[in-house]
Amino acid sequence: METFEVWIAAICTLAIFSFLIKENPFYRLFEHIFLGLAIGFTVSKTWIDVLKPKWWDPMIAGFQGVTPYGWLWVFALLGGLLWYFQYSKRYHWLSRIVIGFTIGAGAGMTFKGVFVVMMPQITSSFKPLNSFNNIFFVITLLCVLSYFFFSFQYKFRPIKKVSELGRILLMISFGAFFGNTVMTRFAVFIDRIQFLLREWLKIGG
Amino acid sequence: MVIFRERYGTEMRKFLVILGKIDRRLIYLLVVIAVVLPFIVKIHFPIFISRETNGVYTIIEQCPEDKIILLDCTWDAGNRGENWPQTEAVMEHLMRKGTKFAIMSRIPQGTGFGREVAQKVAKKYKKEYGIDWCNFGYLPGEAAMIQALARDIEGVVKKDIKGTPIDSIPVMKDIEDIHDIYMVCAIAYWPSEDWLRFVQGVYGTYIGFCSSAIVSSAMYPFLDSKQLCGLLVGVRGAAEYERLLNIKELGTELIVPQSMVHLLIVILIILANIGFWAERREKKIISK
Repeated sequence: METFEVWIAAICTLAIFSFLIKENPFYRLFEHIFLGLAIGFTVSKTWIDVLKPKWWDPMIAGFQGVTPYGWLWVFALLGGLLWYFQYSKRYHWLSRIVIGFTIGAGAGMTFKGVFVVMMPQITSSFKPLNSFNNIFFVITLLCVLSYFFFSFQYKFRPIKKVSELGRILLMISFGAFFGNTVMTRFAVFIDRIQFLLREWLKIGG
Repeated sequence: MVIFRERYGTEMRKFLVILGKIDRRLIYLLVVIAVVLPFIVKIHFPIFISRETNGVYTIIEQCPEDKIILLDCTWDAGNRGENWPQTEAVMEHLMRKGTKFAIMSRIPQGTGFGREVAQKVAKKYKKEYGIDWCNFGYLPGEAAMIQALARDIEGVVKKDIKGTPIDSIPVMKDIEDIHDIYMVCAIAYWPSEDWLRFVQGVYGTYIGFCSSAIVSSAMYPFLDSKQLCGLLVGVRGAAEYERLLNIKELGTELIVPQSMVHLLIVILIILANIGFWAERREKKIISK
């Protein structure tokens, strides 16, 4: 990175870190700059990389007679515009056409995906009890599943104990999740500190 | 022991109670020290290679010459700390081995980061854009795009990020659909499970994930069911991968402060719990 870029990046980083002391105008200013930049970048990138080459150019080529059916892309625009009828009380029903289409396509893909993703996991949970890991896995699976039986009361004491064990095992897994959360949060922080020390202040390395 | 308890018991109890009420600013200071120290003083921790990291490495090693690897670089500045070292380590492996690859991204910001890392590593190995790798750019459409890409790459990616038609890029010669891609390596904060749904589940293509540590717990079941061939978990995954490659880059550098800060957190949790129990005991003594 050029020196100027490094300085800009360092000031931005310090502005965001200033929130650790307290909420301040310096932090808020840079927060708004980031938001504006991110939205502006996404809009321009979407137009340059996606809409222009894949929709606008073929449509214009169609209208100019360069391609025979390119003009049909105009219907994509009309379909997309139907979303905006959500803001109209009178013509709200028009937006339901495109919402229904989106939900239908999404549900179809999800339905297909669920089977493909879930079935291998269900079959892989049937493990032979020939190692400590497998035995521990099966015990955990049964205990946790028993915890999620909500249809009847736990009057039989052993079942109640198994479900309690399931709850403890779930808590251990939540602890692992939280440990990983700490790891990610610190990784992001360490990366910024590394940038400030190495590239901005030129310390170490 | 009894004399000690009588003489110092009250002071000790008060001290233990304070442990549970450490000022947050002091904790911030300790964290900063734990993070900054390894960048100034050289500290080394041993790195052990996990099964999941080895999985990604092994599949890339086995990649035949006539196939390519697809890198889905869907990450941005928000998770640069984890995904940059992962991307760098994987690209280092690909370029060192001479395996050809293509980069794509499902978010607009990802294309630039992928390109930046590739250019950095390419300089080291003197690799050339178009011959050794190419960049598809930003591909929106999520599940629908992934399904279409698997069937016909040229149908989805007409031009690369530089505007060159995909069929005239040397690296894409004879690469038509998912059967010509040996492995998809999804590098993201939360890699898309659509790769498993619509590529691994349908075509049996190897899928490797390089995720942030925060979501890695949700990815382990996919490893167990062999839907994922490997997984790089946060900075730890990147450091382990660098160890496999016998190099010391960003992952190896960042894992030391990471370990230091984890150690500090463990110590602080223990101290806070001692403080909590001491305070409870103190309240009991006062109430008696």
